[in-house]
Amino acid sequence: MISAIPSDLEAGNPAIVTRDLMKFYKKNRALNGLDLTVPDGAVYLMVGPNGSGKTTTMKILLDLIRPDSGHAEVFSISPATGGARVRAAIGYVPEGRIPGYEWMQVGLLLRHHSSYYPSWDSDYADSLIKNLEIDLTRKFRKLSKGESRRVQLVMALAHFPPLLLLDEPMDGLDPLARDRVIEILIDYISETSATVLASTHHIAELDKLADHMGVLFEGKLLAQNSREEIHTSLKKYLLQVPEDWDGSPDLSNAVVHRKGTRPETSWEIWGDETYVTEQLKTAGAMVRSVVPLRLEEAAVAILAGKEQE
Amino acid sequence: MMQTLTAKASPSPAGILSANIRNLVTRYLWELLLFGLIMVVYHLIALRNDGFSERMIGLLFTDGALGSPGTFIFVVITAFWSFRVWTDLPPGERATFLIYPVDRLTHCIIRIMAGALVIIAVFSAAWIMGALLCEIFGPGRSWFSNEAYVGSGWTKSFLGLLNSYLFGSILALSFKKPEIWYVIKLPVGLTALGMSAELLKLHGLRKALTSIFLYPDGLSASFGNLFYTGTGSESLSPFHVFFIWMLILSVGVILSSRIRREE
Repeated sequence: MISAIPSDLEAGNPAIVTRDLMKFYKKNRALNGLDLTVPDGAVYLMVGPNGSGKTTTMKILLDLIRPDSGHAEVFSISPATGGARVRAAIGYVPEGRIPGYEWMQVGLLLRHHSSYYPSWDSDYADSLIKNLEIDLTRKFRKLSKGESRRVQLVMALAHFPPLLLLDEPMDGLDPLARDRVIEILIDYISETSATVLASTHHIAELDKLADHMGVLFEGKLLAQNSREEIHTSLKKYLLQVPEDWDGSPDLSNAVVHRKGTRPETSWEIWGDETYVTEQLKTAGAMVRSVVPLRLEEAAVAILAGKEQE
Repeated sequence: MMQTLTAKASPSPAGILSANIRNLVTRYLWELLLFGLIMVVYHLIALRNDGFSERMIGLLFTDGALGSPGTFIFVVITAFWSFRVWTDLPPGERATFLIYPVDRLTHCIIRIMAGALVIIAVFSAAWIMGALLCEIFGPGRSWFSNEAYVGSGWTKSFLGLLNSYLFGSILALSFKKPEIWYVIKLPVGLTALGMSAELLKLHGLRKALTSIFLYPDGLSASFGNLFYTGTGSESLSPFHVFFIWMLILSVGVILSSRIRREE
């Protein structure tokens, strides 16, 4: 029998590890035993619907909030005990705006921000400002969502952190700005080997960058794996099956999602293609085609499969 | 161009302090100028009412006019300023402040120090301005020719104002809603009322308002007096009483800085 799609990831040298992380906001459960593993140097996409715990996870990694139980480590340091050291290693693009500093002109805000980072590189910041067409004289609160995102990106990158936490980094950006941001991130990652943990609803936008993906649902990881493994092992099988066909018992754990009406149906299944095909044929199905899934399709299939349960 | 990743150095406390001072001065420049102006005007009114006498000049600049009801306004201003330091960053909305690579307690204390230095600078500048105005408007009876100096009255006044600032800071760090800071700061409001009553020559009202919570010399003196009475240690000088209260309030600031909220 094939095992289910894995939700734990082996990494020899992880940049981020969380184990059995639980977090409640009053009676609402935000995290439900989260076991996240982000390998060093990876670009890890954290995908999930609203309220699945993506922002809460990032806030715990920054020690802005503390988990109710479980533990987290960033570069082998616990944020709870070494919060300042952890934050020095992180460039953070928050989901929302930046209360407390929005009255500032962008230039003043960047100057204030740079005072906290001895590694701040003014030349690099200037090149980002130019590239992203940021007006330094405007007040931050007057900026549109996309404009404020660009400023936040400069704030996150210009001190050369080895870890980027990007919470919906493409939110509000126009297509041109999106392309520029992707280019900037690609340059940054290729030249610094930084680790990136990014949350997004729009996987396609970060598809070029990502080499790992984790799918969150109700505070728990449904799956996490490398892009390569997902591409190799999670596939869509287009099947022609008898009216009363109920699948192969050997594949019951491995079926991620099924849709369509008989006799034509398509199933997304985790496992070795040859073995899966053989099992389907043995069970009486005709396999018409097998298609590997893009990251976005994989995430949608995993989430849709969860809702089918 | 890009550099390779290196171990991340910590920011220097002096750098963070100057960044926060710059932040506060830029944000509240007009309010700070107003505070300074109030102090200068206070000096001028006091001097004009007293005919620019040497007694008043001495009282203002060597003894800080301690006990004069007009000085209550500086207690109110200082407490108000302590709230302004945190108005943009109330508890629960400090994520942007707290993501910086500085220990949470250290960061809060540095910001409080920045606020204290700013208000001390404003009051000192206004005080010097008042002295210069005396020099200009009080020929023959000037501050400089009287060889005036910063007397013990001012030392107590500044310590008293610092205590008021620390007390306000504790409220601002402890309670989420700025409205609560002001509501709980009722004693300061009463002080202001007491001052108004005094200015309007309603002595009965002032006595009624201030005697409930406050020693007539103002909030700081009230704290001092409470402590004085509480310990029964009559051998302590007022300076020691203020100093002891400053230590107690500093511990309060540290404890309230450590309160964690969902940010």
